[in-house]
Amino acid sequence: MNEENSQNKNQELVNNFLAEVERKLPFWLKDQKEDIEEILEELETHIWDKATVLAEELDPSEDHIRQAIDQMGAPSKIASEYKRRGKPKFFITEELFPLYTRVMIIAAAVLAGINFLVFIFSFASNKSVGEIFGAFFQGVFTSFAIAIIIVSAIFVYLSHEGYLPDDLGRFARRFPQVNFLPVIRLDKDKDKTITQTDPLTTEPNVVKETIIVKEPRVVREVQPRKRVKRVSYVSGRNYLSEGITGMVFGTAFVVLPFLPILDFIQEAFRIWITIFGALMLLGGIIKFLQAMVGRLLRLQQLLMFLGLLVTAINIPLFLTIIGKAQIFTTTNVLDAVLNLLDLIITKIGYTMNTETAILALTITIYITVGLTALGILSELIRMIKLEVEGFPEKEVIYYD
Amino acid sequence: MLKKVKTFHPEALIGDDHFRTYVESFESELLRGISTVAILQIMKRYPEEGIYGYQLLKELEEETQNVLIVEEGTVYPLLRKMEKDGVLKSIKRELGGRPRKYYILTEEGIKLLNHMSGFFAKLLEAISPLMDFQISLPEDMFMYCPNCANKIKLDDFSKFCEVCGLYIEEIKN
Repeated sequence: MNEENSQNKNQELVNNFLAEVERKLPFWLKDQKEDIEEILEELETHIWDKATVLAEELDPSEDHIRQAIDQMGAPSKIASEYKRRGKPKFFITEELFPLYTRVMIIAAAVLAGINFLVFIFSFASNKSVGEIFGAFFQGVFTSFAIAIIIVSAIFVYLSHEGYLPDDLGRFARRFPQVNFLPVIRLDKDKDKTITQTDPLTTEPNVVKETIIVKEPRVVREVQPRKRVKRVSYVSGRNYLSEGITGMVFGTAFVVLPFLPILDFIQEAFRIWITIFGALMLLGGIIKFLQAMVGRLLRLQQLLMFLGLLVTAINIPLFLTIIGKAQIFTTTNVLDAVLNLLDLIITKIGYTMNTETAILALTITIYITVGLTALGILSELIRMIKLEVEGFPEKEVIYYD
Repeated sequence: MLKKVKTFHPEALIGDDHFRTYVESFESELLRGISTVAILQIMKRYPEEGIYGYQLLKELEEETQNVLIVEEGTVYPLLRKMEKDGVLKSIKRELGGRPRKYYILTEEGIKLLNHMSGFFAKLLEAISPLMDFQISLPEDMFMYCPNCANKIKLDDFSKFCEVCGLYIEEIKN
């Protein structure tokens, strides 16, 4: 009985150590369940081997186990060794650098675009040309600074954790998708045209692979020697890019209303943009965390729920605009928009009045609210699918 | 190594935490590359059956007379990385009632090891005038590629260095 207790105690010590190592492993590795099992199994075998040698080939005592565990090194040290991947290059690994520059360029271009739009509208205000240009350059500079700081911080973190571009795409591909529109074609290998006349001379192999898409889909057969442009209404949810976008633009929307570039708009509208930006920032942080936790089911579901809450707050926020159209009518914003539209539309003989503009705005808001609600619904379905099916696996036939 | 060294006097250099940490981190940086070469050299001895983690560390300790000590748990991430990089391959077998992963050097791994050990040997030789030791390389058995320091057996029939592709036939003769 005592011997059994002692064995249980020893196993518990080993299990605690392994659990501590597992807890500290990077998320990209936790995403690969079989690898984790193999890693922990190898460490466990080592501890028992070592303890058995220390016990001179007898049953190891608690002290022997403790000694063996001690010689393994700290769990955090072991876990940090698994993060050591990629070639360092200015704090960001060489492998992640192309993605980093691409994200940076896109963020900077979109922010510059937003600033340019505001710049055009500023001409409807009472500001001098000098002030408008000054405010524009200040806005562009601040936006770029936000993009550089946030995007760099994210990629430094990813490099430190040992992420490689493949890890970032893998999770997005494995996540269950919810489609409200029919799928015409989804082909994993886009560059290869599969035809009915393709000779299949080799036997297929079977691998276990996580299901990419669960819904039944219609795949149109491609006629031989015809080049067919594939259309897919499905884009894999890439929480990483959604997260980065949310964080960069959210911060920009929080900061920009306090700069001279937007000082011609009413205080209430300024606060509205700030709240909108804060929600976007919060949503971005949640999406980024979702990309990091990968297939840790409960944590993923919790983050999805928090994300839903943040998205849901957007609905009343948008609806407040309908009730308070004076935010726009009493500021120069609507005038500026109308002036611009007049400039373009009067060329074809149509002039839009304030009432029509407010109607158009109201319709746009209802469409936005509808799309947001649809987004919430699809996320809810995803959560339920995850609860019912988890991250399922199926056998996939492939040819070499 | 210093992690296991006791401080006998509080006024000794490593009695000061700052210097102890400094030396520890220097040792750890130096050992990182050297232990990789040493591990691969041991692995080279088991081209068919392979070697599992614990056995590998035991041989490393014994062969280096407990000087080259690595934190045992940190060897596995290193082995995993080398396996992913194609330097090693592994097979799973059971021994003593437990599943074990046996590691074997791949063909590319052997070539890389020749380069690593050649570079390490030439490096030691190069710094020896600065240190109080002498290095004598076995140049009657091997040559070291003048371009990349790859270690090449003199009785090897290859005309080119298999790492950098330099034409070495004339240099060998």
